[in-house]
Amino acid sequence: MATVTLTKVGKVYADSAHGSVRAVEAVDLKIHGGEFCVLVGPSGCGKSTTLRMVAGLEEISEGTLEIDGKRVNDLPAKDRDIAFVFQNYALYPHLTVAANIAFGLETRRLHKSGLIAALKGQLSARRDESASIRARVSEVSRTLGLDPLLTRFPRELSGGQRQRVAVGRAIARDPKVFLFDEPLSNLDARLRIETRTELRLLHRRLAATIIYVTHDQEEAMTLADRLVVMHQGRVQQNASAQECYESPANRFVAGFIGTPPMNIVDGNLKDGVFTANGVSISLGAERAPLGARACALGFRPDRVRVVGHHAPQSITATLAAIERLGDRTDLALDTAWGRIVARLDADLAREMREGEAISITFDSEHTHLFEPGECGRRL
Amino acid sequence: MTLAVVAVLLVTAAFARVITRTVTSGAFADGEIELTVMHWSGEGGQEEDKIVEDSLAEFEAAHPGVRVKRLNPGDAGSFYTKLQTMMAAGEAPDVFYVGYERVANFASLELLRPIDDFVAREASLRTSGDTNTLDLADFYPQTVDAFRFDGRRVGTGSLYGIPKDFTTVGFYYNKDLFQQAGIAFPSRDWTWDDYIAAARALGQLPGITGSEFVTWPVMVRTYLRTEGCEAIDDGLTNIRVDEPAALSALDRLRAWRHDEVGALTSGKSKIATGASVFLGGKVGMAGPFGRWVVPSYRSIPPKSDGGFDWDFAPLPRGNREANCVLTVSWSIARDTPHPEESWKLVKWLTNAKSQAANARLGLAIPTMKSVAEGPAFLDASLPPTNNQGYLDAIPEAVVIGWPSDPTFEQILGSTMDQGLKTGDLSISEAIAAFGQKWDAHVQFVPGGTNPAPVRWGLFAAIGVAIGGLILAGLVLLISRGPRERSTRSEERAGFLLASPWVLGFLLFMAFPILLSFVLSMTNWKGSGPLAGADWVGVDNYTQLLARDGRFHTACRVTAYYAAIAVPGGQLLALLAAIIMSQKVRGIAFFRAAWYLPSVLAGVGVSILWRWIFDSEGGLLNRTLELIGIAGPEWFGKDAALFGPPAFALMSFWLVGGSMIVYLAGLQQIPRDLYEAAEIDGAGPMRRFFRVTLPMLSPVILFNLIMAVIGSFQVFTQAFVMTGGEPGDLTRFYVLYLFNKAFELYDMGYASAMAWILLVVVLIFTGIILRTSARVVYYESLRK
Repeated sequence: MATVTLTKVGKVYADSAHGSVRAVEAVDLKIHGGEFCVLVGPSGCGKSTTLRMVAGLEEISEGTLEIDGKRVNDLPAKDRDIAFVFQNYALYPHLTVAANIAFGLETRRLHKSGLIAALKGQLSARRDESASIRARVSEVSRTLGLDPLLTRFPRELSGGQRQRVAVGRAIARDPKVFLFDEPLSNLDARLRIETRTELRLLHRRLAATIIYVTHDQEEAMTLADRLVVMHQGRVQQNASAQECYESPANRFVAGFIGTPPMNIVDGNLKDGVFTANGVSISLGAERAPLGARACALGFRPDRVRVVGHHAPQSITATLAAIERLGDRTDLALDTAWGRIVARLDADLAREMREGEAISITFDSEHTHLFEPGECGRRL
Repeated sequence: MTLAVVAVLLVTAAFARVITRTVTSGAFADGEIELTVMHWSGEGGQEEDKIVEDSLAEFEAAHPGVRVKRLNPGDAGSFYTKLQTMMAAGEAPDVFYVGYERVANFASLELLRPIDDFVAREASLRTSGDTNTLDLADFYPQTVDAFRFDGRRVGTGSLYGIPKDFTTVGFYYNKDLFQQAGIAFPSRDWTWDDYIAAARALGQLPGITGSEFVTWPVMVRTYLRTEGCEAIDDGLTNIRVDEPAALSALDRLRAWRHDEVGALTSGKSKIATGASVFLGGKVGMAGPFGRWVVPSYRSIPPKSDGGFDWDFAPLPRGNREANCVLTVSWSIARDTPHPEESWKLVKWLTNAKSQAANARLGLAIPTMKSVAEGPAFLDASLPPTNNQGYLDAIPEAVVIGWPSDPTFEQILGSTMDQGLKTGDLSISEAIAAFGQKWDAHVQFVPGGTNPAPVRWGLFAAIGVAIGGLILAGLVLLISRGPRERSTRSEERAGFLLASPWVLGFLLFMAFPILLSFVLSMTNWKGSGPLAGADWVGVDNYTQLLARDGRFHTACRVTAYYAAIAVPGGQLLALLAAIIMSQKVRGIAFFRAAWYLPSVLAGVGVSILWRWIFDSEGGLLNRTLELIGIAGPEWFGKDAALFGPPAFALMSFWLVGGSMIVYLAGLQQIPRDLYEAAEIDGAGPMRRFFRVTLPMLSPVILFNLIMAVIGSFQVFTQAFVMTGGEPGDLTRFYVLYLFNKAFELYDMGYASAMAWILLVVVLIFTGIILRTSARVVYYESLRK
């Protein structure tokens, strides 16, 4: 249980072709002890680099990294008391599962060489040490259900089993901080969801500080106590998953969090009325103080409602595509505002056919307004 | 399928053409015939080549209807190798050089045509007034007798060639050094005491060594003759070199070479020995050499141009005067289709005009007295002045008789090397070793005294049966294949596309390999048709494994080399690969630099390395000298200990090939693993041993096996640099195999050796594979 604090942390790569490339910029982050913090963002957003800087696998170009209040910028990876789970697991292919789990313990033991221990007359101390390593390995393997696999080699394991061994190797040492770099991305969809839950349970049992990197926002939301959305090397929002979903800090977060993504339409606001491409909808009096300005309107697909033709506050739409998902149905709609996605109860969409014309509307209290631009701030 | 049939037919037709072809060397439409002439031009160089070329051109002009094709493979060694190959193929040249020492061997293998009938006819032609006849009475009799062979010994019997020139031997001396040392030039009747006194006096001069004394078998035997000793009895069967007088004469020579500093060149290594040491002006005398060094010694500038004056003195006397005759003939192939024309050509090439041309070149002494004692030879406008000295030695000069089996000379040479050159054996030990080896060789009569001929019909039948089985199996395999039409036609196309390789493998690899297995149980000599071979069962194998001392030495030398070259080379290659895998500016250059030696040609590189290992003035020993270490005589007297390691050192230069493979292996190791180990607390050493080595283990295994196999196959370097000398101390396995096969013409024996090597390699590879199974990790090998 340790606190990890990043203050103005940045990473600059020297690049002969372009001078230098800034991969991570001024990341401020405080992860509390026992917190499950997920860094999420599209590929190239700097999340993995940030994680690797925390691990000590990348040098920190700017800013400070503290673990439990102690500056560790210049501490080598092995002395930071962290564990890292790699995307490809990075299991030692020539070692058995047991030896893989024990590896970190073996490297840290006091009496590495039996011969030297014998010369020093500390053989019994070494024996005790070996026994405690064995005990720890079996404890870890029991926790993860790896018992029957201990004598196998990684090549004889399935993807999910390998993933558990990688986790086992991480928890064997009981480190202060666990770092996960896209650990589930090599698993198939079903296994990914199962393992997700296991990880969550494991976190609760270990009560460990975890920093977890993924590009999958759904995985991020299900796991995170705290969600850190990153884009272009910067933190876009640092909040709970629910908060990121309900009040995204900017247009990027709004578009990134949530499936299907939020509908966002560029237009103009004047006196609480939003107009785009000649079609206007009133957002209510409480938006009037924002005055007259260019902005983007966002609303989630599940807030879209189908209404009767020519109802007030409605937009005419043509049903371009229907995706029936069982309990609900996603509609792709061509409107004057461009393509809009709506998510309806399956029952409501049962009779709809592609090509049909409908009218839609949404509740103005569930809309979001952002400044123009890719990362336009929430208004 | 049609295409396959056509291809098979074409190949069959081509082979049928080759097999059924009769030796029709030159039946030209207009009645012209072609003679093939082969010679060498070793010491004579381009000038000797030119003399033969011109002489042949004149012959063609004088003999319309005869065309001459001339072959000159280079030096004598290449000449005999090519001659051997041509003879084995039934395509021997019509007329060619034969050195006197090979006559017994060639004649007993029935490769030469006796020419007594032609010589006898010359006399009657002469009486009938022909002026262009050959008269053996004008030749020095020893030179002619050198080419007589009666089926057992040289000197009497049928004549197998006309000597083209000859030489006696003696010492070449540096007149200037003699004057500086204040000693008299050698006199006509100087003795060995005079010789060693002069050498000692010369050795007192700063930076000067008294004399170079080569210990080639023929020179050792000539030296022994000056003390009235022989190496072998007149019957050429019993060794006489172990008689007390011979032993004491050899002990004296050994004492001069080993116990004194400055008198005789240490010259114990092949590098520093030979005629060329005289050229530098740092050696007072050099010999015993014949006339053949004269063309190169004539390149020494006169004293006025910074060179020195030199001359020749015949061999010193011991308790009597003695010398040897070394001579080369023009001989005729036994199976030549044109004996008459060939004889005309031999006469032409040995006539007074040709002999005079050779005499002017300085290379040798004419065999015709009338030419030798005329101006062409005695004219002293060029050094040496003492041309008469060579002729003075003739009355006491004899042809040194060699047993028809060249092994005698080889074994004598290698054991004498150990007694006189490297000195790791005393003279009596060396002689005893010689006796043992020679006895073991003589007593080895493969297949007993009356071996049965090889039943080739049986083997052909077995071969056909095996071939038939394979074919039937293949047909079965194809017919059992998939039923669907499209897959079957695809399969047919596959077999068709693979067929050139398969055919090539069967004809050019599988067939010779199997044939060599059969040959390993015969006494085939490699110079005649296979039908002449006798069946000897496993005699070759038992002789090799149980009694052949040279074979055991070769195995020891090879094992010693492998024990250093394999682990050392692999370690170095791995280290180099790790260094070369660093991401540093310009690393591509360094990688290329490391790899470069591996793409350089073997022979040239070997010659460069010979200079590096030269015990006097070589780069390596000079460098060692700078840091205060007296370098060993790598290929000289220290060859037993340092010879094979020297080759191992040289092999380290070629680790680039292994390095590239390691480099590729290193770059396959996922970076994740290193990072995981780093986080797990492993330092650089632990990462190397726990990640790099295990991940690299399949590559290490591969490289190890290749290196072990390669280490058993050392040939080029040793062949070029030492030729197996001194005293077989650098005679690697394959070098001995080559020696047996292509220098001693014992193909059956050499085939047995090849098969033993194959089995040894298989055993070693098997052991490595077995023992490595637990430590080598294959990621892709799923169980």
